[in-house]
Parts: sequence; C-alpha cells; structure tokens
Amino acid sequence: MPLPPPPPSPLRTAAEWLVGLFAVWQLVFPVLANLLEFVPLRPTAGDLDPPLESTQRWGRFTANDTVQTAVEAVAFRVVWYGQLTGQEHGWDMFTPGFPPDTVIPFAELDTADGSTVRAYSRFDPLAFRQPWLRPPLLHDREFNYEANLFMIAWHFDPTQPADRPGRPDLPARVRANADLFTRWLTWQSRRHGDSTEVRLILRYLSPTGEVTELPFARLRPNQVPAMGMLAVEAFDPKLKRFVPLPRWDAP
Amino acid sequence: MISPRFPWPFSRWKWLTEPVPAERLAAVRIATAVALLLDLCVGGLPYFNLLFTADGLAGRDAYPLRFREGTLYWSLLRWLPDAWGPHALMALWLVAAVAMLFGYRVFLSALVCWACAVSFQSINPSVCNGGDQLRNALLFTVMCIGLGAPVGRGDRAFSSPRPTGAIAEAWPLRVLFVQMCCMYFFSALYKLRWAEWRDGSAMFAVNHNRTWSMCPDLTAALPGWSHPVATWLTLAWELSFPLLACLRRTRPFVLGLGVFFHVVTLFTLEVGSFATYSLVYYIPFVPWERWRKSVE
Repeated sequence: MPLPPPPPSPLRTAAEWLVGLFAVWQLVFPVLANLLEFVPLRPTAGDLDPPLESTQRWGRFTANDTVQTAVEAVAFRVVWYGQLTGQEHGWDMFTPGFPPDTVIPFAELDTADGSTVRAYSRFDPLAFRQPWLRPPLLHDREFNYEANLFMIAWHFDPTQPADRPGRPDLPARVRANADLFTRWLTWQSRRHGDSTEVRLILRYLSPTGEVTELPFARLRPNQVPAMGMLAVEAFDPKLKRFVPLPRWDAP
Repeated sequence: MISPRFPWPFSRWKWLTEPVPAERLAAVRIATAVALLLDLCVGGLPYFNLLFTADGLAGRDAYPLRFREGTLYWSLLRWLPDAWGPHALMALWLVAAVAMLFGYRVFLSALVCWACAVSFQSINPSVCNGGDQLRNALLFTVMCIGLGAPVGRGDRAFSSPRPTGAIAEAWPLRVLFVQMCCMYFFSALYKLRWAEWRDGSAMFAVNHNRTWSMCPDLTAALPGWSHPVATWLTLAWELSFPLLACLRRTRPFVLGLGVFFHVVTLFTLEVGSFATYSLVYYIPFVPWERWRKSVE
C-alpha cells in the first residue's frame, strides 16, 4: 500500500498563499488603476512641479478629509506599483478628438556662416513624397516622438487671434515638457553640424491645402541660459517673440 | 514551481482556479516573444542610435523629470554608461527574447525582457505608446507563467470531458483577460467624454490626418458615411467588450471584430506595436490544444 504524500512544509504553504494573493492583486490592480483615474485626487508636490502629464482627474471627490486622504493613499500606491512594474494604465487613446489640420514639426537652424537651413520631418507630405502606404512599425517610434511634440500645440489654430480667451498657453506647455523639447532641439543641432540657433517650427496643413507655420520653441546651443532659466525658450504667439522660461527648481 | 492558494471567495471561482490546457500559456509566451522580436528588429534596431542613445533622443540624463522625487520609475540604463550601456542591454534583450521564444528558462528570460523593456521605456518615454504598456504587462505575465509548471494531466483535473494533454494554472491568462477588458472599456469611457466621439466625427479627422494615417490617400477617400460608422462602431465595441467577451455566444463575434480592428489599424494608422501586442491578447482564446491533437 503506497504511503500518503508528506504534508507540505510551512514554507511551501506560505509561498503558495503568497502566489495566490499576488494573483488576486494582479487581477484587481488593472480595475483599480483605471477606476481611480476617474476619482478626483489632490496633486502632490511631485505632480505640480512641473505639472504631471497624466490622465488622473485632479481635485476632491468629498469634503471629508479622512476619506479623501485614505483614497489618495491607496491611489498613489497603485500608481507606484504601475510605475515600478511598468504596468501603467491610462487608456485615453485618440482623445480629445483630432483637429482638422495635420500638424508637422520641422527644425530651422542658423549656422555659423550666417545661413539658415531647414530640416523637415520624414512624415512631411510637403517636403517628401510619401509612399501610398507607409510600412508599419518601421518609423513608428520616431513618429511617436514627433507626435509628442506637435500634439502639445495641435489644437492651437494659428489662423485665429492669439489673444482670444481660452487659447492654449503654449509657453507654459513648452515649460512643462522642457526635457522633450531640449532633447529634440539638441539632437537636431548635433546632426546638422554647428548651429548658433535651432528652432522648432510647426507646420499646420489645413484640409483645403493652406499651410501656416508657427514657431514653437528654440535653443541656442552655445549660449548659457540666464540664471534660473531653462536652456529652451518658447514662442509666445501674443508677444510674437521667443520668451525665456523659468527652471522648475528656480525659487 | 508553486501553485497558488487563493483566498475566499476567489478560491471558489472556477474561472480562476480550474486549470487550462498548457498549450494556451505556451502560445501566449511564443506570441509575446514574436511580437517583441518584431518590435525590436523592425521598430527599434534600424534607428537604435536615434531612439535609445545619448547621441540621439535618449541618454540616461535626458529626462531627469521622469525620475523626480515622488515617482518610482527606474531604468538599468541610469546605472550603465551612455557609451556602451544601451548597446549591451539591447543585446541582452534580444538574447532573452529568443530564449523566451524557445521556452528556455521562461521565468528568467521573461524577467530579463521585462527589465530591459522597462529600462528602455524609462530612458526615452516619448518614443513609446500604449503598445509599450501592453508589452510590459505581457512580459510581466509571461514571467508569472514561468513561475508555474504543468499541474498535471487534463483527464485527472476535470470531471467533464476535457483535453487530456498537459494542463496549467489559469490565473496568468485570467489576468490578461482582465487587462484586455479594462483597456477597451476605459478607453471607451475616455472617448465618451469628448463631443467628437459622441457625434461621430472623430474618425473623419483621424482618416484625413496626413501623418497619422499611413495611407491618407485611401483613408481620406472613404465614403462619408464610413467615418461616423467607424467612430460609433469602435465606441460600441470597446464599451461592450467586457460583457460580450464573457458571453459564450457573442465571444467569437467580439473577438473577431477585435482582431479585424487591430490588423486594419496596423496597416492604416501610425499605432505601431500597439496593434501587434494587442493581437497577442487574443491568442489564449484559440484552442491550440485541439490543433496539436489533430496534428498528433
């Protein structure tokens, strides 16, 4: 008669319970992470300085401080788990709706010999003849980078008066995404040799074929920024000139 | 190799506790590896210097705000020198992806793939999209698959007639299903907040955008009625996905529509690897064990 199997060791039992709890957490986590994005939370200092690009709704959902604080404690831990494990959520894809114009960025560089050159995007249909069908995957990551640049300003219609109320504050948006702009402008400057100034310009292509260009940001690679200012500057459509941007850690 | 013990009431939920044919988990692992290798070899390596090195748009100190106090983002590339770190980690990533494809030390290879994926995403998040979020979640799940082992033979585990091959824990597949439902459902909720999606005009602008559309001459020439139909169909499908995918009768329809949607967007919209990684989520629904049995 075969002997009954030995009872599992306490360590093994504990490990089985841990795996079970982890599995349950992995099941609950996506639901929780997505639901909590719709619950208004008070931003932390880390979310404000600079403002975090997030799908989280900010504010309060209750006047009761204890409940608000408890939910925030849970929500921030859920967010941290997502950041730590790379399992982030926030599925606000294709929102808000696309504007009617196609927006394409390009770089304009002033070189040391006084000339100005333009470096167009490979996706620009005015600069390069586009294939009837672009191959999938191949250029997608480069496109993502450009999209992150132009989507910041793609609801800003440059044909409308700049001082109309409710228009996007473009300098503030450049400041909030300073790393993104600085890196792109630095790369453009490097790949085209020495330049004294490099500007990011957006080209708005309307459905009827009109083209409007709007300066967006600039970098002067050889110039040290003023005390407390960022290296990147933003174009202010109201003032019609580039303006310096304060650093986030500046007093 | 550890089998989980679930707390009540999960312990009584057959959907979670009853094992599944092991082929389904293997198929997820293989499909994840294929999608990853496609992503790396087509979408990453041709522009490696541009996308992932300090000579291009990346670098370990390129995006300091991402690693500010109050966040838990991390990257192995922050500890490796810019000169050779990205190259070494990419080589390791490729080796691990091939190992995962062939099922060699699944937990370890998926762990390396996951760590590399998170590291490269953190060092240059601006070249990423929702596809990278799916990729990380898939790799994390394959890691969990690697933790387990076949739990027995089907004929011992099921009282009703079921496949008789190797069976395995179902929970990693259930996690994928919940992630999939959340992605579609919450994506629809976000869309519902915007007038363009409610009034049916959203896809008109998408199809007429000359850079987002990968074949704008074709998508802009679609008949006028097709844009609101595409808008509302997307919205209705995403919103109803969790319910219709749970119901046995509607499941083939809603999954078929999903596969069609992702294949079409792969070739018509600049969504990149979002389409390929999304398709991996459909893999567990295919009865691979029947196909294997018929081959045998």
